Amino acid sequence: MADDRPVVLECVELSKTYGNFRALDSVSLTLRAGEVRALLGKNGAGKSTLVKLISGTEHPDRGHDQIKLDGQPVHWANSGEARSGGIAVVHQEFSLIPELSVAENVMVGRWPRRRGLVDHKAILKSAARAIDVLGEPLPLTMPVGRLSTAHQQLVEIAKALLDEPKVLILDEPTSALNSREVDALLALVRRLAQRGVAVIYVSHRMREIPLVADSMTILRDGREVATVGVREVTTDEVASMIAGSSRAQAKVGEPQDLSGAEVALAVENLVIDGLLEGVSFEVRKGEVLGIAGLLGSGRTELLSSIYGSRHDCEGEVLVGGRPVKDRSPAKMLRLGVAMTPEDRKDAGIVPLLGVGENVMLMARSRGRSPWIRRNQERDTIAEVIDRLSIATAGAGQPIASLSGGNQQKGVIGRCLAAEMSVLLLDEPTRGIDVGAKAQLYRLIRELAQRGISSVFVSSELDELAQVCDRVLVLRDGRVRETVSGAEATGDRLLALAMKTDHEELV
Amino acid sequence: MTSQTPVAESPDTAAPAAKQSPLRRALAWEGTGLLAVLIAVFIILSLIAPNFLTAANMLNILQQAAFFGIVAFAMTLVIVSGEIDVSVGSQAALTSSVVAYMVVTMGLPMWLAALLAIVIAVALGAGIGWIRDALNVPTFIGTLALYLALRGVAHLVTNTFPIPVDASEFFYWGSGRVFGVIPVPAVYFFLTFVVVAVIARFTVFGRSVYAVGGNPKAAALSGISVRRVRILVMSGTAFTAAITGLMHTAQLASGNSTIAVGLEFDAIAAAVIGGTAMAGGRGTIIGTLIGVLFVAILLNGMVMLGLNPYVQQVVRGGLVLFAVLINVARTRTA
Repeated sequence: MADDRPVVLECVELSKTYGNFRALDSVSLTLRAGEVRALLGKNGAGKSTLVKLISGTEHPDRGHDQIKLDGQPVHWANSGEARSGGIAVVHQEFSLIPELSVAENVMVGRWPRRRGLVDHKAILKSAARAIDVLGEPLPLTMPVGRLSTAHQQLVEIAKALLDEPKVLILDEPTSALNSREVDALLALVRRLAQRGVAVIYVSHRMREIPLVADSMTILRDGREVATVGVREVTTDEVASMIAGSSRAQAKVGEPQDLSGAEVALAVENLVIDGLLEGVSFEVRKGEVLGIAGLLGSGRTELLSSIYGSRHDCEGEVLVGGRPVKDRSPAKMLRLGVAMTPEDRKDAGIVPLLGVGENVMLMARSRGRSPWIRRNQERDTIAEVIDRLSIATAGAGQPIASLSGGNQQKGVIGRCLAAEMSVLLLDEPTRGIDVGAKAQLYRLIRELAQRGISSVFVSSELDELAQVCDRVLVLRDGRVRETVSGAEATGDRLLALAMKTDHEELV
Repeated sequence: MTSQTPVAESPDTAAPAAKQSPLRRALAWEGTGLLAVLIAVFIILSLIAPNFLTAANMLNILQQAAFFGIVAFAMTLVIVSGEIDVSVGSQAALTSSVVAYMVVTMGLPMWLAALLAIVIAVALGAGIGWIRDALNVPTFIGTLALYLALRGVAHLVTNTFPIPVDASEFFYWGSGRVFGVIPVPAVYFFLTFVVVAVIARFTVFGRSVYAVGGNPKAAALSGISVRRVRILVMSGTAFTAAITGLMHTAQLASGNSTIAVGLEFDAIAAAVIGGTAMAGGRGTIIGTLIGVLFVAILLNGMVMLGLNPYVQQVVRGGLVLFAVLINVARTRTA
């Protein structure tokens, strides 16, 4: 790499502490004009914190932490200042207004005015200039909501390019794109780099990184582990740097080989257009089956399709050997299959209702009686609260007032109260504390011993390795690998999830 | 009703709350504040309004309360489920007009006409609930359309003149007195209170209404048919609106397309004053009972004070605004 290119961004020993938690610890980063830097690390490794500090949404701890742009120290008060100062971020979640046109979205918040009225001609002209850079003709007057995800992403990028940023930060930009769209995006990033824009590219997809990035910085536990050229390391090495040399964490319970046990739930050739290309697997009675995969690999969509809360899939789901047609949550519940959603607040808890009522939701809708049987319920609720050690003042306490971990236990308790035999757990440990996580792991193992199967989806691969009897690795729309619980480690799963198909792994 | 939970009627509260003294439980209940205001207003009106504090007027208040209170109970379930029904006034007017038309012009027996009118109302309500889900039409818009259209149909049917109905045994059901004392509508009112309160607290459907209003996604993932819940609550307000229309018909001895104007406001105001959250997921039937009595006492007091009817209208409007402001404040602190 030509190191004579001028340094654009220089971060000196940035640290950030939230309460007692040190999210970022003396991380330095130097970026030259036209350089594309991949930023890698697990959840909580400090990637988002670093991005937030650079883009002005958060401020570093100490005064002598420094961010220099073109050699000048900068102190952004907020992300707006950073943006006009030359640092633009394209977040994973779009901030587009679906009903407004492409041009209006590109220029949103800075619509030119003439005599107090919005000057639509000027909007079109400026937006056209920004879109031009993308090299993809977008219909300027079409409502953004009618564009494909990939094109919406381009609108986001055009928005970011409006201020001619020196540094462009892309956060997991390809997680929602199909492979052809990914190629187009990578080409665009390279073109921008050639124009001298420095890019920070947050992603874990080892297929993309060598194609787009010059170098990569790997973070772990808030520290910088390494900054290396992309061609200097193998995927395996990267995976172990991300995971750390930490010894494999102790297994929770003993992983079992249950290949002889009866099949509780089977999925045959499940296809979701552009996402899953034929996923098949079986869960045995009393088995804990992990599903590993990177962001955007279709894990969540897989679970919702099985559960029937999503209907855009083809393929079969069999419960107890019988195919289930026209799946819906109500139908799956009758067959003893329950799902806990990824987003607890959005689709898990009913915030205003008490813990007890939240726990009883599934059991009630599954039961035949139209009456609430309070005495019976009281016993069930007490049992669930006790079993899951939910910390609550009483069954009547609104569930929203509990900690995240206890809320999650309430949501899982819902499946127990309804006496389910297969649990589909989508990121059950997201956003909950370490103690509660350990309790959940033990609970899942305990349930397995009583013959209750779990399909455990998580982006924290360590925990899959700790808890599961068997882990499937979802990659490029298929189950590409199966790892037995005994052999699974976080590193190995990560390496397999990141692997590209023309690369051999040990 | 012994629910003391500050949030929603929850059958599970009894265990921890039982340890507290009844007084402290009463103070912790958010309805207590409203009850105190109700009593204060009652005392003030007793002192300043002539003929307010008489047995006859008290029964009168109950009778008046019934004419929007029955709807208010059903409305509470609608609002708790996260929906709204502004068509109840027009529904009542349509029922009254259609019943009279069927009896007078078509010669149907009274009971059959009443039954058919109820069926029509419930079908319309259920339809609004159905398109809420199937076509994603908000119930506010759906019922706003009915609010206009049904009043129009009622005027068309009656030509805006009352259609006298000659069925004297039927009049008892609107203006009769049980034991010669208690107004029949007041009996309906308390009966509806008990039925809806039991539904809200002790049935799976009732609890599903709270779950759907609190988080429809979570409810759907728990196997609750969100569509069924919405159809049923919208049918509920339609049914009570039809009953109210029949009560008017019996009381006036005629089918009338100009009745029940503003019924939706009184019913919604009573529910909201009683602590029902406009955002859904929260509200109690006992709270609405207090809300209904509050509104009824206030309306009656204004008449007793001889206030200009237009002033009364201003007060009613202010009442709705006031109730919503309290509601917002309550949601913020929760």
